[in-house]
Amino acid sequence: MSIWTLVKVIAHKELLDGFRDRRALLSALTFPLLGPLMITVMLSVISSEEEIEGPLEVPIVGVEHAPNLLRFLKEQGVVVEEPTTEMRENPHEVVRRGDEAMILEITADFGEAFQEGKSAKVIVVADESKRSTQVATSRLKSILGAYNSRVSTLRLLARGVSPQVMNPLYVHTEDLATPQTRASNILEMIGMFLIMAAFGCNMYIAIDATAGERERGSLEPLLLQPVSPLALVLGKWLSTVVFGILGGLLTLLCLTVAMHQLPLENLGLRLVLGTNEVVQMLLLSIPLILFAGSAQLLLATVAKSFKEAQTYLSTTMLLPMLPGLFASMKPMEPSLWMSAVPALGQQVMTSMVLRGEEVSSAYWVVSTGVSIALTTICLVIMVRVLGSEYLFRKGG
Amino acid sequence: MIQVENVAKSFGSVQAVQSVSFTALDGQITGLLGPNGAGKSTTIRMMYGLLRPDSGMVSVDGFDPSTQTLEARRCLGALPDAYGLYPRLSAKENITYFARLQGMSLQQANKRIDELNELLDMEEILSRRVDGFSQGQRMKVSIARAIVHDPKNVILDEPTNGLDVMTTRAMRILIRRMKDAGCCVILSSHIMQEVSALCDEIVVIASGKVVATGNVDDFCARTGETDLEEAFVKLVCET
Repeated sequence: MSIWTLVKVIAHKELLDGFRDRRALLSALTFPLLGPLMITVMLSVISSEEEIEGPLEVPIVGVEHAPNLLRFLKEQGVVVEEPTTEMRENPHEVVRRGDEAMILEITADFGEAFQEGKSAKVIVVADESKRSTQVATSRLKSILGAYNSRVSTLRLLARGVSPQVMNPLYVHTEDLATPQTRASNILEMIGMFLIMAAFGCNMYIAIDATAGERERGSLEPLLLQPVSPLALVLGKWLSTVVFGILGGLLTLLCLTVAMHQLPLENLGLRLVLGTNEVVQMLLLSIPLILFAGSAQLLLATVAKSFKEAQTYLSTTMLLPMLPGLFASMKPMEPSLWMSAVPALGQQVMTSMVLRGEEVSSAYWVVSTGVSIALTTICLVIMVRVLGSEYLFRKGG
Repeated sequence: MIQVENVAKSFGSVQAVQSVSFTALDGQITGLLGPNGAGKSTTIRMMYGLLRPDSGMVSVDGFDPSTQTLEARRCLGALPDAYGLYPRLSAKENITYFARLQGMSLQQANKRIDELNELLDMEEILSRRVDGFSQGQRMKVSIARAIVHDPKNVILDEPTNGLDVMTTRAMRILIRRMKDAGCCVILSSHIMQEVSALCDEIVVIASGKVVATGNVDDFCARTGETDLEEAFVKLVCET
């Protein structure tokens, strides 16, 4: 029987066993569903805050004192609400209770001061400790500011003075951020979830095929079969790879569905997440999945028990998440050396794909090469361990 | 035929096996008898090829398990003391897996499982998942799995441990049948009646050395006792 037939027999058994294992399936499904769910929730929270971008509704007390201002506000799309008696008498209490986000109060001497060319007083009553209120008040203030500069310009012109006297500085911001770069925090998270899937989805099956086999007492009978350790290791490794790739595919599928459901345009975000990007991301995560399976198998083989293996693996799972966590807080400038670090490389490359940038072939070669080299090292060590007396010395 | 010649094995400073030699012939049941920690398990693991002897050599039908591992294992059926099964696979799937690992085709495996089913009476458990099997049912599946490739040499490490009367009887019948079929059977056991009832040749191991080889009558004559248990105690205490 050729080694490949044996590898197939072993991988087939491990997969059959894995797909019947509720715990393995649950852990394989958790990561692909968790990531898209978290992103969906986060984006919905952000977009519900941004919905204040709709018409600005403000109750105005004392509209009768400033008909010109009222007309200007309406021109700017402000929906002027009729104030209640309580708002007239005690606007502070109404805002404090949260019945209204803010109330604009035009003072009784507004008309007089305006006529005399003095500063006429308007009061914005608001609780700015609320984030949603901050957005609304800043919009109202900027509209009031626009009225301010329009009137002052007219007044200066009437006196024969150039309005530029009032503006020694002309500040013009050129915003180079495209909607895609603004989405970068979310991009980093997508990369992180993809990496979590690579390590998480096959974790359980890796433990079960090694430490689990040992704990059940089925490892010794298995090792007594005329099967080379190489075939054994390859078969078990292939089954973890299948689980990992299915997990990665599921993650990408869920992400794509979630992203197309969300009102991303309203947030000023544009994510490129078409078939081409999904295929690229799957391709770049495959070397990582190969490595993750081999490293987890090796660790779980050396572990003394199922519990110990679980502890090792869930602890080491935090390591590949670190670059993603770090990057979502402080975006990194990608550089080639990063692609040589497993997980970090995939993180950087996923972001590039999602930003719509071309991932240069150097990144592909380095990240794939390093992952495959490390995979080979892990598998070779595992073959040595299974072929040696290591596992049976202690049991004596 | 399994030959063990002067094997020795130590783990660090602990000398598990000092010097063990015996020959287990075809068509015979050879018993390995010894107190706990005497070196039985280590000796058996050297026959499996899981451990390499520090000195001396083992031969299974002429193959050295530590260098010609795969060849030796093809002619060896083994029931180790830990005989775990895969709980999520059915009894048949468990047996088929090992048959395939032994190089048998699916058809060959199915044919052999039918034979084993008749021999071990496994009809009602064959398609059930192993999870929840009784000790006896587990043992049946394990022994079927161990001899699925119809090996010429069989090593059974305490095969009747924890079994009820009926299953123990079935196991003894199976062991005798293998002997009648010309197999070389090595049986390690603590149960004196079992050893004296089944074995043609008994090897007593104590403190990593063979202290006596022969049959029940030899031992009794040598120690002046009438039953194997008394003889065994005397033999072991002599060393």
